Amino acid sequence: MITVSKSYHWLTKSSFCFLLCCLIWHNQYAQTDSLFKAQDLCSQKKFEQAIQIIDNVVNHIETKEDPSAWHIRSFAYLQLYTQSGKYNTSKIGLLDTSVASAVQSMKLDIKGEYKDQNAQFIENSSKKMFNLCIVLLKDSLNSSKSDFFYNKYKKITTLIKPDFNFKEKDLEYYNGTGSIFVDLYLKNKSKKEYQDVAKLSLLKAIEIDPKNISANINLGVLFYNEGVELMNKLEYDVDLSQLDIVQENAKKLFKQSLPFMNKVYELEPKDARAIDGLEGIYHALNDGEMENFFKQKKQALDKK
Amino acid sequence: MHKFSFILKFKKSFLFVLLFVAFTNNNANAQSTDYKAYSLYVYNFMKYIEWPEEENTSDFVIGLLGDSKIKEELLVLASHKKLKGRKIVFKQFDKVGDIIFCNLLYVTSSKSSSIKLINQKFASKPMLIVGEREDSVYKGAALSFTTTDEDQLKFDINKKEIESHKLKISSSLVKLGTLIN
Repeated sequence: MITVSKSYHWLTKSSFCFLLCCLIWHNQYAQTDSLFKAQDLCSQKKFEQAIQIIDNVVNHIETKEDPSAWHIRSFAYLQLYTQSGKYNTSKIGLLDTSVASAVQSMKLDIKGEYKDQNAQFIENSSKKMFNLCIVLLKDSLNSSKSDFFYNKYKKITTLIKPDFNFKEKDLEYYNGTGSIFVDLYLKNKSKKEYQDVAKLSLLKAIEIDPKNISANINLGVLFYNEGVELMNKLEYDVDLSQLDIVQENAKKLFKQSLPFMNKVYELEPKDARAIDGLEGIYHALNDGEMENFFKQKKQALDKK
Repeated sequence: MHKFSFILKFKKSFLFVLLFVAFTNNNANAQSTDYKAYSLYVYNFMKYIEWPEEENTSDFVIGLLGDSKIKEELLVLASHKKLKGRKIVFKQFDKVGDIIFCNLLYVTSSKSSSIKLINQKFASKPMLIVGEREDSVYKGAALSFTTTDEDQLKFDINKKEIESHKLKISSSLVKLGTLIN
């Protein structure tokens, strides 16, 4: 009895171990098989179905540390985003997941098998973010959302290029935003919010590059025109004491414009916009001597 | 271990970057200079100075001697406003000899040396001479613009000249300007 019982016990134990091994092997095989399935679906451009499979794989205990699984996931999400249409802000979560998966794949990829491709996925996502921020500015005039995507672009770029110098890009972005909103404001002066965005962006551009002619001239013109507008809004029947208050406010704006116009003139003494603006500012500030100085400069420029 | 491989196609990723740069070259221009304050004062002078009754029947004539950017503002004033129901007419003159009678004559800075001559030509006529140049009141203008230390546009009043042209200035206008005599 004892012998029988022992062998029965051994058999049961062995069977259990065998079954467990089979299960583990099967499970592992099943996960690897899922990876192949996901890759196959990706090649058929069935990214949604691929994602359903790959999401399970990366969450599975046996494969959650497999860099290839995260790599496929990054690709599938990136492609699904691309499929969702150009500049789709509502599906931006797909890009976020793609980037996060590529980062995770890079972390687990000790051999560096997927390093270059993962970096490529991240770079592609960052470019999409940059394009999105430009489209948001130009088409929907949504500067705060555009800023959000621009910052995302910078954050993602840093993942693959930690030493990337954003100075040029920042300048381009803020100067571009400023120009777009100056233009919008000049077309519709009732939209003060456009003016505010323009000022803020141009000031940021000047902070990065104080000698930037475009940012300086735009900001100078913006303050100057605001002063002119203030005066132009006055009705002829205005009380003269009221005129004093408006004049005072307008003067403040003309004085704010002055350093930006002067900077452009200092950098580019033949810039007609700066000369024209300075003539106007000094006239508004009742400085006849300086007004005349720039008037003559303008005449000399016109002769040429 | 099988290595999974995907090839990404980069399409037009930097197209917008280039478009963006092109767009940023669009710079704004300054608006025309601020002469609005001058024209607002001119209109208030018209309101607060009294012309003899017999002069109040026909159109109110604003004359401009010389060339100044205020011309555009005065043309706007003439086309948009009336003075106590009277039409406002704008006329421009190059030299003193061309000037015909106006209710108000605006003398630009470059022509301020002609004020004495104008006064001789239109002595005792109800013509209000307004000088653009700061010291014009000392040369015979009834009113002239001046600037305060705070860069505020104000005006000086030569009451004697006003009265010599049979005009009356209201006390409220006197309060806002500076009397030189």
